[in-house]
Amino acid sequence: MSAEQAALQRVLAGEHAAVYAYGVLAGRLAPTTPLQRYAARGYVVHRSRRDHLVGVIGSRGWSPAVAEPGYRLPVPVDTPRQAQRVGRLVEERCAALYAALVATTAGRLRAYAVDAVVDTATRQLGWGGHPVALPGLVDSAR
Amino acid sequence: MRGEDADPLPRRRLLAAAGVAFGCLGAGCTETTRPSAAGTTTSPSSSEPANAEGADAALVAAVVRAENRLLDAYQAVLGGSAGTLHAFAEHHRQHVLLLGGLPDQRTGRRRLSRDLQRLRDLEDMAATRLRGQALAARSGDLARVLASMSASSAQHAVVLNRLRTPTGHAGRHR
Repeated sequence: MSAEQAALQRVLAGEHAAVYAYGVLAGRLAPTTPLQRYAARGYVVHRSRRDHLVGVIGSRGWSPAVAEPGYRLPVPVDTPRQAQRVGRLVEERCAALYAALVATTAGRLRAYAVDAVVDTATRQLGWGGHPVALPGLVDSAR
Repeated sequence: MRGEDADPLPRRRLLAAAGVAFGCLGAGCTETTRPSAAGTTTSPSSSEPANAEGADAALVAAVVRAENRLLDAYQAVLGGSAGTLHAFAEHHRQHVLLLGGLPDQRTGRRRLSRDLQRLRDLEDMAATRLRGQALAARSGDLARVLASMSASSAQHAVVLNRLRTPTGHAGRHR
Protein backbone atom coordinates (compact mmCIF):
# COMPACT_ATOMS: atom_id res chain seq x y z
CA MET A 1 0.00 0.00 0.00
CA SER A 2 1.42 3.37 -0.99
CA ALA A 3 1.82 6.19 1.49
CA GLU A 4 -0.89 8.15 -0.29
CA GLN A 5 -3.33 5.25 -0.15
CA ALA A 6 -2.58 4.64 3.53
CA ALA A 7 -3.07 8.31 4.36
CA LEU A 8 -6.34 8.42 2.41
CA GLN A 9 -7.67 5.38 4.23
CA ARG A 10 -6.66 6.81 7.60
CA VAL A 11 -8.34 10.12 6.96
CA LEU A 12 -11.46 8.32 5.72
CA ALA A 13 -11.48 6.28 8.92
CA GLY A 14 -11.18 9.55 10.82
CA GLU A 15 -14.13 11.02 8.95
CA HIS A 16 -16.24 7.94 9.71
CA ALA A 17 -15.52 8.55 13.40
CA ALA A 18 -16.17 12.27 13.03
CA VAL A 19 -19.55 11.69 11.40
CA TYR A 20 -20.48 9.41 14.29
CA ALA A 21 -19.28 11.90 16.90
CA TYR A 22 -21.04 14.84 15.31
CA GLY A 23 -24.21 12.81 15.10
CA VAL A 24 -24.03 12.30 18.84
CA LEU A 25 -23.23 15.97 19.45
CA ALA A 26 -26.08 17.25 17.30
CA GLY A 27 -28.46 14.78 18.91
CA ARG A 28 -27.50 15.39 22.53
CA LEU A 29 -27.20 19.18 22.60
CA ALA A 30 -30.30 21.19 23.36
CA PRO A 31 -32.19 21.78 20.12
CA THR A 32 -31.96 25.15 18.36
CA THR A 33 -29.15 26.38 20.61
CA PRO A 34 -26.16 27.93 18.81
CA LEU A 35 -23.94 25.02 19.80
CA GLN A 36 -26.43 22.44 18.54
CA ARG A 37 -26.75 24.26 15.23
CA TYR A 38 -22.96 24.40 15.03
CA ALA A 39 -22.83 20.64 15.58
CA ALA A 40 -25.48 20.07 12.93
CA ARG A 41 -23.53 22.10 10.39
CA GLY A 42 -20.35 20.24 11.30
CA TYR A 43 -22.11 16.95 10.75
CA VAL A 44 -22.98 17.97 7.21
CA VAL A 45 -19.40 19.02 6.49
CA HIS A 46 -17.86 15.81 7.77
CA ARG A 47 -20.40 13.65 6.02
CA SER A 48 -19.66 15.47 2.77
CA ARG A 49 -15.92 14.95 3.21
CA ARG A 50 -16.46 11.31 4.05
CA ASP A 51 -18.46 10.80 0.88
CA HIS A 52 -15.87 12.66 -1.17
CA LEU A 53 -13.05 10.51 0.19
CA VAL A 54 -14.99 7.34 -0.54
CA GLY A 55 -15.26 8.51 -4.14
CA VAL A 56 -11.57 9.42 -4.38
CA ILE A 57 -10.42 6.09 -2.99
CA GLY A 58 -12.86 4.15 -5.14
CA SER A 59 -11.80 6.01 -8.27
CA ARG A 60 -8.27 4.74 -7.71
CA GLY A 61 -9.48 1.15 -7.64
CA TRP A 62 -9.07 0.73 -3.90
CA SER A 63 -11.66 -0.45 -1.39
CA PRO A 64 -12.64 2.42 0.93
CA ALA A 65 -12.28 1.83 4.65
CA VAL A 66 -15.64 1.09 6.23
CA ALA A 67 -17.08 2.66 9.34
CA GLU A 68 -16.94 0.84 12.64
CA PRO A 69 -20.25 -0.36 14.12
CA GLY A 70 -19.80 2.21 16.88
CA TYR A 71 -17.22 4.49 18.40
CA ARG A 72 -16.31 5.26 21.99
CA LEU A 73 -16.25 8.96 22.64
CA PRO A 74 -13.51 10.25 24.97
CA VAL A 75 -16.06 11.67 27.39
CA PRO A 76 -19.83 11.38 27.68
CA VAL A 77 -21.79 14.16 26.04
CA ASP A 78 -24.05 15.20 28.88
CA THR A 79 -23.16 18.88 29.14
CA PRO A 80 -22.23 21.63 26.68
CA ARG A 81 -18.72 21.68 28.13
CA GLN A 82 -18.30 17.96 27.44
CA ALA A 83 -19.69 18.47 23.96
CA GLN A 84 -17.16 21.22 23.34
CA ARG A 85 -14.32 18.94 24.43
CA VAL A 86 -15.48 16.17 22.10
CA GLY A 87 -15.87 18.63 19.24
CA ARG A 88 -12.37 19.99 19.75
CA LEU A 89 -10.83 16.54 19.95
CA VAL A 90 -12.58 15.41 16.78
CA GLU A 91 -11.36 18.42 14.85
CA GLU A 92 -7.83 18.16 16.24
CA ARG A 93 -7.62 14.55 15.14
CA CYS A 94 -9.00 15.36 11.71
CA ALA A 95 -6.49 18.20 11.37
CA ALA A 96 -3.63 15.80 12.04
CA LEU A 97 -4.97 13.24 9.56
CA TYR A 98 -5.41 15.80 6.81
CA ALA A 99 -1.98 17.28 7.50
CA ALA A 100 -0.52 13.81 7.01
CA LEU A 101 -2.49 13.55 3.77
CA VAL A 102 -0.95 16.82 2.57
CA ALA A 103 2.50 15.29 2.90
CA THR A 104 1.69 12.31 0.68
CA THR A 105 -0.27 14.01 -2.09
CA ALA A 106 0.09 16.52 -4.87
CA GLY A 107 -2.13 18.59 -7.12
CA ARG A 108 -5.85 18.76 -6.49
CA LEU A 109 -5.84 16.16 -3.77
CA ARG A 110 -3.20 18.07 -1.84
CA ALA A 111 -5.28 21.22 -2.26
CA TYR A 112 -8.28 19.40 -0.84
CA ALA A 113 -6.22 18.21 2.11
CA VAL A 114 -4.78 21.69 2.77
CA ASP A 115 -8.25 23.23 2.76
CA ALA A 116 -9.42 20.54 5.17
CA VAL A 117 -6.54 21.30 7.54
CA VAL A 118 -7.60 24.95 7.57
CA ASP A 119 -11.26 24.08 8.03
CA THR A 120 -10.70 21.67 10.90
CA ALA A 121 -8.35 24.12 12.61
CA THR A 122 -10.85 26.96 12.48
CA ARG A 123 -13.73 24.66 13.36
CA GLN A 124 -11.94 23.90 16.63
CA LEU A 125 -12.43 27.53 17.62
CA GLY A 126 -16.18 27.17 17.50
CA TRP A 127 -15.85 24.41 20.07
CA GLY A 128 -13.99 26.70 22.44
CA GLY A 129 -10.52 25.94 21.15
CA HIS A 130 -7.72 28.50 20.89
CA PRO A 131 -5.32 29.21 18.05
CA VAL A 132 -2.01 27.38 18.12
CA ALA A 133 1.22 27.77 16.18
CA LEU A 134 0.95 24.52 14.19
CA PRO A 135 -2.53 23.03 13.97
CA GLY A 136 -2.45 19.38 12.99
CA LEU A 137 1.24 19.00 13.72
CA VAL A 138 1.64 19.46 17.44
CA ASP A 139 -0.74 17.91 19.91
CA SER A 140 -2.70 20.84 21.27
CA ALA A 141 -5.24 18.76 23.13
CA ARG A 142 -5.78 20.00 26.66
CA MET B 1 -6.85 34.83 26.31
CA ARG B 2 -5.25 31.55 27.32
CA GLY B 3 -2.24 30.84 25.15
CA GLU B 4 -2.03 27.29 23.97
CA ASP B 5 1.63 27.72 23.10
CA ALA B 6 2.82 29.79 26.03
CA ASP B 7 6.12 27.90 26.04
CA PRO B 8 7.89 28.20 22.68
CA LEU B 9 8.68 24.78 21.25
CA PRO B 10 12.27 24.13 20.30
CA ARG B 11 12.82 23.82 16.56
CA ARG B 12 14.02 20.23 16.81
CA ARG B 13 10.80 19.17 18.50
CA LEU B 14 8.69 21.12 16.03
CA LEU B 15 10.46 19.52 13.11
CA ALA B 16 10.17 16.10 14.72
CA ALA B 17 6.47 16.68 15.15
CA ALA B 18 6.27 17.63 11.49
CA GLY B 19 8.04 14.41 10.57
CA VAL B 20 11.01 16.26 9.19
CA ALA B 21 14.56 15.33 10.10
CA PHE B 22 16.23 18.09 12.03
CA GLY B 23 17.74 20.68 9.74
CA CYS B 24 15.99 19.16 6.73
CA LEU B 25 13.93 22.15 5.70
CA GLY B 26 15.69 24.49 3.37
CA ALA B 27 18.66 24.07 1.14
CA GLY B 28 20.78 20.98 1.12
CA CYS B 29 18.16 18.55 2.36
CA THR B 30 16.54 15.49 0.87
CA GLU B 31 12.89 14.63 1.30
CA THR B 32 11.70 11.51 3.02
CA THR B 33 8.87 10.93 0.58
CA ARG B 34 7.45 12.71 -2.37
CA PRO B 35 4.12 11.94 -4.01
CA SER B 36 4.18 10.96 -7.62
CA ALA B 37 1.56 11.74 -10.22
CA ALA B 38 0.58 8.07 -10.22
CA GLY B 39 -0.32 8.25 -6.57
CA THR B 40 2.60 6.22 -5.27
CA THR B 41 5.34 7.69 -3.22
CA THR B 42 8.97 7.61 -4.17
CA SER B 43 11.97 7.85 -1.95
CA PRO B 44 14.59 10.43 -2.75
CA SER B 45 17.63 9.24 -4.54
CA SER B 46 20.76 10.77 -5.91
CA SER B 47 18.78 11.41 -9.10
CA GLU B 48 16.47 13.88 -7.29
CA PRO B 49 16.83 17.09 -9.24
CA ALA B 50 18.89 19.68 -7.45
CA ASN B 51 16.48 22.34 -8.61
CA ALA B 52 13.69 20.74 -6.52
CA GLU B 53 15.62 21.38 -3.32
CA GLY B 54 16.60 24.80 -4.59
CA ALA B 55 12.98 25.61 -5.36
CA ASP B 56 11.92 24.64 -1.85
CA ALA B 57 14.81 26.59 -0.33
CA ALA B 58 13.63 29.71 -2.16
CA LEU B 59 10.08 28.98 -1.00
CA VAL B 60 11.21 28.68 2.61
CA ALA B 61 13.12 31.96 2.34
CA ALA B 62 10.00 33.69 1.00
CA VAL B 63 7.87 32.25 3.81
CA VAL B 64 10.37 33.40 6.45
CA ARG B 65 10.38 36.94 5.01
CA ALA B 66 6.58 37.06 5.01
CA GLU B 67 6.31 35.65 8.53
CA ASN B 68 8.77 38.28 9.75
CA ARG B 69 6.62 41.00 8.18
CA LEU B 70 3.62 39.64 10.08
CA LEU B 71 5.64 39.44 13.26
CA ASP B 72 6.69 43.05 12.75
CA ALA B 73 3.07 44.08 12.27
CA TYR B 74 2.09 42.49 15.58
CA GLN B 75 5.01 44.03 17.41
CA ALA B 76 4.09 47.45 16.08
CA VAL B 77 0.50 47.07 17.27
CA LEU B 78 1.10 45.43 20.62
CA GLY B 79 1.96 48.51 22.60
CA GLY B 80 0.29 47.92 25.94
CA SER B 81 -1.86 45.03 24.70
CA ALA B 82 -0.71 41.68 25.98
CA GLY B 83 -2.48 38.35 25.85
CA THR B 84 -4.01 37.47 22.51
CA LEU B 85 -1.76 39.53 20.26
CA HIS B 86 1.37 38.44 22.10
CA ALA B 87 0.34 34.81 21.63
CA PHE B 88 -0.20 35.31 17.89
CA ALA B 89 3.11 37.11 17.54
CA GLU B 90 4.77 34.21 19.31
CA HIS B 91 3.17 31.77 16.83
CA HIS B 92 4.73 33.65 13.93
CA ARG B 93 8.05 33.78 15.73
CA GLN B 94 7.88 29.98 16.05
CA HIS B 95 7.07 29.71 12.33
CA VAL B 96 10.20 31.71 11.49
CA LEU B 97 12.35 29.63 13.83
CA LEU B 98 10.93 26.36 12.50
CA LEU B 99 11.96 27.31 8.98
CA GLY B 100 15.45 28.25 10.06
CA GLY B 101 14.99 31.99 9.90
CA LEU B 102 15.77 34.72 12.36
CA PRO B 103 12.77 36.41 13.99
CA ASP B 104 12.53 40.11 13.35
CA GLN B 105 13.52 42.03 16.45
CA ARG B 106 12.45 45.44 15.26
CA THR B 107 9.98 47.18 17.54
CA GLY B 108 8.14 50.42 17.13
CA ARG B 109 10.20 51.61 14.19
CA ARG B 110 7.58 51.23 11.48
CA ARG B 111 4.48 53.30 11.24
CA LEU B 112 1.94 50.53 11.09
CA SER B 113 -1.68 50.95 11.95
CA ARG B 114 -2.83 49.69 15.32
CA ASP B 115 -6.05 48.56 13.76
CA LEU B 116 -7.12 45.03 14.55
CA GLN B 117 -8.76 44.87 11.17
CA ARG B 118 -5.42 45.37 9.50
CA LEU B 119 -3.96 42.47 11.45
CA ARG B 120 -6.94 40.34 10.52
CA ASP B 121 -6.52 41.27 6.85
CA LEU B 122 -2.82 40.43 7.06
CA GLU B 123 -3.63 37.07 8.59
CA ASP B 124 -6.22 36.39 5.88
CA MET B 125 -3.64 37.16 3.23
CA ALA B 126 -1.06 35.02 5.01
CA ALA B 127 -3.44 32.09 5.14
CA THR B 128 -4.10 32.41 1.40
CA ARG B 129 -0.42 32.86 0.56
CA LEU B 130 0.67 29.90 2.68
CA ARG B 131 -2.01 27.75 1.08
CA GLY B 132 -0.51 28.47 -2.32
CA GLN B 133 2.98 27.83 -1.01
CA ALA B 134 1.90 24.52 0.48
CA LEU B 135 0.65 23.50 -2.94
CA ALA B 136 3.87 24.63 -4.59
CA ALA B 137 6.25 22.87 -2.23
CA ARG B 138 8.09 19.93 -3.73
CA SER B 139 8.70 18.34 -0.34
CA GLY B 140 5.63 16.71 1.17
CA ASP B 141 6.86 17.42 4.67
CA LEU B 142 7.37 21.09 3.88
CA ALA B 143 3.91 21.20 2.35
CA ARG B 144 2.46 19.80 5.55
CA VAL B 145 4.22 22.42 7.67
CA LEU B 146 3.04 25.23 5.38
CA ALA B 147 -0.53 23.92 5.43
CA SER B 148 -0.41 23.95 9.21
CA MET B 149 0.93 27.51 9.22
CA SER B 150 -1.88 28.53 6.87
CA ALA B 151 -4.34 27.04 9.31
CA SER B 152 -2.73 28.95 12.19
CA SER B 153 -3.16 32.25 10.34
CA ALA B 154 -6.74 31.33 9.55
CA GLN B 155 -7.34 30.72 13.26
CA HIS B 156 -5.77 34.10 14.11
CA ALA B 157 -8.02 35.82 11.58
CA VAL B 158 -11.13 34.31 13.16
CA VAL B 159 -10.18 35.46 16.65
CA LEU B 160 -9.07 38.91 15.49
CA ASN B 161 -12.42 39.28 13.79
CA ARG B 162 -14.14 38.45 17.06
CA LEU B 163 -12.06 41.06 18.88
CA ARG B 164 -13.19 43.65 16.35
CA THR B 165 -16.84 42.64 16.69
CA PRO B 166 -17.43 41.45 20.28
CA THR B 167 -21.00 40.39 19.48
CA GLY B 168 -19.88 38.28 16.49
CA HIS B 169 -20.78 34.61 16.34
CA ALA B 170 -18.23 32.16 17.64
CA GLY B 171 -16.32 30.78 14.68
CA ARG B 172 -16.60 31.76 11.07
CA HIS B 173 -18.42 28.67 9.97
CA ARG B 174 -21.92 28.81 8.70
